[in-house]
Amino acid sequence: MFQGVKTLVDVMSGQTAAAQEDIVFDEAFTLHNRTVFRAACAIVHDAGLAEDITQETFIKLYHNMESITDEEMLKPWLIRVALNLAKNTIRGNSRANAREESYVKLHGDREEFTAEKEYEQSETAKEVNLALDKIKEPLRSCLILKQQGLSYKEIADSLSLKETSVGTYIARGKREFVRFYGKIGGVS
Amino acid sequence: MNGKCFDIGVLQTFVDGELGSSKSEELVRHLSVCDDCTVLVAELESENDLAFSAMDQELNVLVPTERLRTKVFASINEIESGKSAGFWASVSAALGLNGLAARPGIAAFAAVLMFVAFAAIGLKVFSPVEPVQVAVNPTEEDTVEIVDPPADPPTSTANENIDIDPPSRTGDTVIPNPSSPTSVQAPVRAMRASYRETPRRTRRTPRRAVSTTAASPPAPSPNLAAEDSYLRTIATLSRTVDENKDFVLRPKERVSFERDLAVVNDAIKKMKGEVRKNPRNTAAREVLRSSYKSKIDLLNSVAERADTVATLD
Repeated sequence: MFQGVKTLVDVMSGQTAAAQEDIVFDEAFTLHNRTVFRAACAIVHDAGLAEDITQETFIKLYHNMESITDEEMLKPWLIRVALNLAKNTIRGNSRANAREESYVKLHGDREEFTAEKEYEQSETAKEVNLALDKIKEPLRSCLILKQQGLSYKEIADSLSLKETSVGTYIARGKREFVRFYGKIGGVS
Repeated sequence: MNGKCFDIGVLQTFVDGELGSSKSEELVRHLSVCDDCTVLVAELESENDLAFSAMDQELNVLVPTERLRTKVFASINEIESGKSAGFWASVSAALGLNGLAARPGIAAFAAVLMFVAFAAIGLKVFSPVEPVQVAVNPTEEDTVEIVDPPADPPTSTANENIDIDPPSRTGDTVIPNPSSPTSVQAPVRAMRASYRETPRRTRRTPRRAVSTTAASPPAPSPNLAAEDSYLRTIATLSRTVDENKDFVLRPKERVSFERDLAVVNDAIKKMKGEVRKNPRNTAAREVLRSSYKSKIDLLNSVAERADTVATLD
């Protein structure tokens, strides 16, 4: 019986800790859902997919609250998970849409998927997304995260890079973006 | 170019305001004598303007925060309901009640018993006057012995103490106390009740907030509450935005921001009119709600940038 009561107390103290975690989780969601959504959207170019990725990211956070002891690491952790999920989604999509991919290969340049065509309406959006898609990793992620207002340290933590290399990646990524975006081609 | 020229990455770090102060001073000294690096810094700055303004337009999409919140917390609710099933399983294991599951008849009887016990505890917890009367009744039978305790502070926890205390005194006299048969299990049940009170409230508050704001309730009263919270959020955000928009937004962005804001304000005004005219017009309510959300998102996008600028300073 004593063992039983001990188990009961353990279970209940675990539940109270979980209640505190819930509050922290709620704060984390309120603070970071926009950045997570936008970072994901910048990779997948689809609001619906970005929603799914954001949802999955925060559910992963819910399961891993205990493992994130340093509050500073919370945002980089979320971004890392979201970007990985976004890249996996793109990979999964491209596998699933093999026929579309062969069509893209046939026509040389990377065209957007049908879903993207429905979602993206303006030419500018296409240009920005196409330019981003052509930039190699980790330059692209650095650029996107910089645009989303992350500090160099947060970018470095999110992408497991050295903080001192982030400037170089951003400079190179941005240069590629500008070249692909086609506004100032002549800048060396 | 001379031998001390800086790497493009360092120059970019400088442009982004992320270079340490000593390194910045060193770089500024170098820039005053090196034309190549000065030109490169100027190029990086103009590239920053071009790239980030193009990306700002396309990547700072409106975020469906409320929908996301509903989805995320719905999923977590599911996870939690699974967990709470596990919790009760471990509670029953702790009490050695596993055997009950094998005998449905006894289990049903136990369920009825527990329901009655919970109802009794609920009555005691929520009506603090009644337990005092319950406590007084036994005192009449027990003579003076329990008349002393009322001198103790009559807090809400005293109710539980009064329930639990008598059995310890039953060694001396036999008390025909109606609460004594259940008193053995009373501490466990009281703990359960208090456990269920606290975490559930803390957990459910955000979810309830979500369901009232996002799940389109037909009743008019929660809607008004939601409207209040929207207005409060908008007021706070507006203050931040008004303070910062002059230096956060470039002129072009400022124009498009003001235009968007005017459109949203117009929509809110019209829909408010519609809802006032006919409070049961759910479509108008829905549009009003989404207009509020759009406005919050729009203001948020500027407020966030103000935060970013503040942190960079």
